[in-house]
Amino acid sequence: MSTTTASASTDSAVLARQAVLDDSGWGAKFHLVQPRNVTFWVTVFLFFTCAGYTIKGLSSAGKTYPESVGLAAAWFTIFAFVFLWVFHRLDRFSSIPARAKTLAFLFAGLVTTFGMAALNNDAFRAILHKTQGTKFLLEWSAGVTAPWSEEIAKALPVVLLIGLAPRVMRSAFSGLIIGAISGLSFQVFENVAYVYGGAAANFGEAKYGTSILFLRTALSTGHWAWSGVVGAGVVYLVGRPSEPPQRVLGVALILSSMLFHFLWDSVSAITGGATWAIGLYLPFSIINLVVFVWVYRRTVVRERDWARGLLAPEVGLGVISTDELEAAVGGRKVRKSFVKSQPHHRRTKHVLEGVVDLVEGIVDADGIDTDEVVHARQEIGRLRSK
Amino acid sequence: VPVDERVGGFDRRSIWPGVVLLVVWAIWAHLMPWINSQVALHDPIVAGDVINLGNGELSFVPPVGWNLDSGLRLTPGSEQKVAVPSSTAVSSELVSYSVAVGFWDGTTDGLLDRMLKINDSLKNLVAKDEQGRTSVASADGAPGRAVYVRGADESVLIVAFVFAQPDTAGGSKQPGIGVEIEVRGQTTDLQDQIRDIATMIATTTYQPSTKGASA
Repeated sequence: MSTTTASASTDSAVLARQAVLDDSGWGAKFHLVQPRNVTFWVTVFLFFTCAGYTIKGLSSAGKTYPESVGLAAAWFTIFAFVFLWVFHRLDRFSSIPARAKTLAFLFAGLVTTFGMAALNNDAFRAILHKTQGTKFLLEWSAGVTAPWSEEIAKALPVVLLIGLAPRVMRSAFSGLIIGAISGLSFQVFENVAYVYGGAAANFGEAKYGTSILFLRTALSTGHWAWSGVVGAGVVYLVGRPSEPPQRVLGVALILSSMLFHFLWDSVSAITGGATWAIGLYLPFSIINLVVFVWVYRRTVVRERDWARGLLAPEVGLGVISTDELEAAVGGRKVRKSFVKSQPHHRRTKHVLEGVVDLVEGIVDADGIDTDEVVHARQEIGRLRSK
Repeated sequence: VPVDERVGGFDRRSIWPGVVLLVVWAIWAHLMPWINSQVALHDPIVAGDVINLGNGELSFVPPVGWNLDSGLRLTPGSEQKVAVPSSTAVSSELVSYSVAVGFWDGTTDGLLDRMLKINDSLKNLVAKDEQGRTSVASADGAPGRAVYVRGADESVLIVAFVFAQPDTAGGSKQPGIGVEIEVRGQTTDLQDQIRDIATMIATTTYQPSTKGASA
């Protein structure tokens, strides 16, 4: 493989890359303010209507239970950043703009959690109480209410971005990532409320909120995983220009999350409150992760095809080899196996990272050879010759 | 926005996502709460009803004819359905009587101080005026403290009990159990129903299943 990598792309290569960018929506800019967009005005309205309610509630709780709210907010902020980093790693080619992810997080946390889901939960559970009795309320109402009430509410950021950033939401993979971010945000805001709720239930004693903090952290595979799967399901259900509808699959994914959410919330009722029932959260957590990973592997294929399409001309230019291309766009196992097969592991890893940078450079440059793209190619050459 | 994709100047493709957001918001935040407000809860207390406040060990007896708004009756086999912390509410047509149970290691006066400080419902009282505190006792002799907070429209009577839990079998000390009773209604209605209210307060009992408990 040559280390001279500043070769220029041909017109046909540029056109091929631009066709991939057009199909994938990669590099599409996200503009929040869109006066001709109905979804934009609805979003503004909902932020005004619901976010104020949420902020007022959290602010009031912060004054009444400062220790619990402060601790929970700090802890779950760290928790959120850890998971956001994981989701960022899953979105290897950064196909979703950071501002779109930020909007999804804020909408889920400030609008849907308390401004919609909590209100609907409370009302529906009260109706169940009045019509089915107190015993049913205590045992089954959470499982009968939260799965549909919360999963639909958490899917709204996916719908919002389809309306506000249709070029960004091109594939089920986008739905998976945005759905997971929405679920994470919901989880974070809900957990803060659970923690100070634990203190409130014990006359404001902060230590009882802290014990809930550890419990909620341990049970952390629920909302983001279910919502990610629902997000992909929504995209499969409605279809996108680059993702033909697969309605049966879409509905199945959405219902699967509701089913697992139901089981999660009904452990006590199903087992009759047996003490061993807490052990069920371990297999349930594994199921949540397995389903999420299965959907990830299924949806990321299209992302990899697009990355492959962008990088294909680089093989012709002698920037990378076919094996490197396949390793760079492949899954973790493929990359690991490729790195192991090479004499210089560390160098190979760096080259593959450089290839990802090249993809990002090509995306930012809309497929043409800018100085940044040329530099990214030169970097690959430099890394290879180290 | 392409000309052929405009409706009234707006991007036609952005309509359905916006409508979905609005419809879900309308149902979740308004329709469901409205339906709830239209469904009455009718669960009258009958003779012999005892309300479980925690593990079947902590309970009280509401007057016949009052409504059980939230909480669970104590029935054989259902003792563990209610754990500490818990909350329960009963009401007559004019007065609400709610009981919050949680862990509390302080004194009854300390619990009253805490509730006066953090109880959200007291913030709604107009021109509230805290009257003096008095000592009360349950029928089984448990000492409690009460404070009456008079507002321009409604008044609230808060009563606190603190029960000591017995040590665990291994000898570990357990936290105390605090009980906060909040009776709310118009001042005249509270006075009219004071007999029912006093009877209910007096029936608050804690009978731990383990020997060695003290109240």
